[in-house]
Amino acid sequence: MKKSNDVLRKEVIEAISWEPILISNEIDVNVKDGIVTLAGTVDNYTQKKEAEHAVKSIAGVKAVVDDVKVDLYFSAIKSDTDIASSVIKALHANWAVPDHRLKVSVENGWVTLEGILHWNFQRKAADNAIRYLPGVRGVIDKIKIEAEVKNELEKEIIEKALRRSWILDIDNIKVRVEGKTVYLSGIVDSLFQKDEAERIAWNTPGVWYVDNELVVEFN
Amino acid sequence: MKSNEILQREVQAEIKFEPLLHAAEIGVIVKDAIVILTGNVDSLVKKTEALHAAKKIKGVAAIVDEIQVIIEKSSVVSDQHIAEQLVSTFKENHVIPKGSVTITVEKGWVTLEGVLPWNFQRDIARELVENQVGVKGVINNIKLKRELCDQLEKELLEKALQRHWAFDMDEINIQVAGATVQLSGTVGSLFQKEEAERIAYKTPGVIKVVNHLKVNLEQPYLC
Repeated sequence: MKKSNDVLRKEVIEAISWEPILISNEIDVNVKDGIVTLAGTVDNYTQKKEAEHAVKSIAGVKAVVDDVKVDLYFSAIKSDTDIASSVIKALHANWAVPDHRLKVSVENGWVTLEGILHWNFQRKAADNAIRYLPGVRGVIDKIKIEAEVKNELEKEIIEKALRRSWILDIDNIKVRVEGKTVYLSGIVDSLFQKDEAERIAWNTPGVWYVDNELVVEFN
Repeated sequence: MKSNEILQREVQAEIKFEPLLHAAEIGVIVKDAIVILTGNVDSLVKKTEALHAAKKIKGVAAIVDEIQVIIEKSSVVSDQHIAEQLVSTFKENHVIPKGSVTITVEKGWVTLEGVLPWNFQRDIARELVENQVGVKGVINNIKLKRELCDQLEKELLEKALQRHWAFDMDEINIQVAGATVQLSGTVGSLFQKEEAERIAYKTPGVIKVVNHLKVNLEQPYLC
């Protein structure tokens, strides 16, 4: 049974207020054809990310448009220099991030990451390390992935990996490989699954880019 | 139920597929759907990643973690340095209230103590330590306590699980007593079992979640 806009909107609002970190926030929720738009303001970047994350695990949400603004308290505002130094420290202390390959710049609380990494999980780890730092308004990710290994991409490896995960139903997912890019298409039940399929595809040796065209359709 | 050999091959393949674990030598032994992981790795992140990979496989009932973190002499970080780094990491983190967590480091093992209001903060504290260079293991002794306790409402939790794509509520039972939630019934994988617990810990008023969910090995598919 497809969820109506009203039902979905109610669920999104409940899901957001379920997160302890978001209890006191006023996030506006709009739903149209399964596409959820979040607007309003939150106190920090952590909350913005958390709201997006909470919505992604609801069955039936096809996409999230995140228009939430981070409105820092006066006392939480930090100078760009301070933010840059705590970002550099956080990236350096994180085991999974090859921080020497990344360039950090900060402007008005927005952190930009640039550089070339070998794996996408390293990019995710970098983003995660910044998430809880005070003073950050957002992250602009300009990191490129260039695999170290020169393997030919193998479609079968990806399909097998997708099949192993209980989270995904491989019968509805199509994998195509072209050069260094993996294309995913087909149908999944939730955005969480869409993200997980992409994460798995990114783990393929030799991959430089994943084009995720999976569609969320909840029945 | 999958045979031991098939399950072993799948777990091995899954671990090999994680970029972090390409070079890691992790042994996989399977007996009656219980997966035993052995071997040595050079960072805690790798150990966590191996466990994580195994939890996503259909048909894994439980995991016994015998992986050891052994850091080469040349890359050992002193306890003093780990402690300093962690103190600064916790200070920079605005989700965990300042001064609520005590950190003890001994031979690369980090013990966390203190009292926090929410379980997700406790999880973040552990995550921060796990990602720290030089850490071999974490003992998380943080307790939960809140000043204001709402009345636990079972319906709220039921709804929260219902919304989530991964759960079939016909298979899950919730019992509430005082500030404790007990989960029972069956789910399709260890991942779901842990996710259900994580969600239950966010119920207003909860202090303890007793997780008796069983992993159903016959029909590991959801829905």
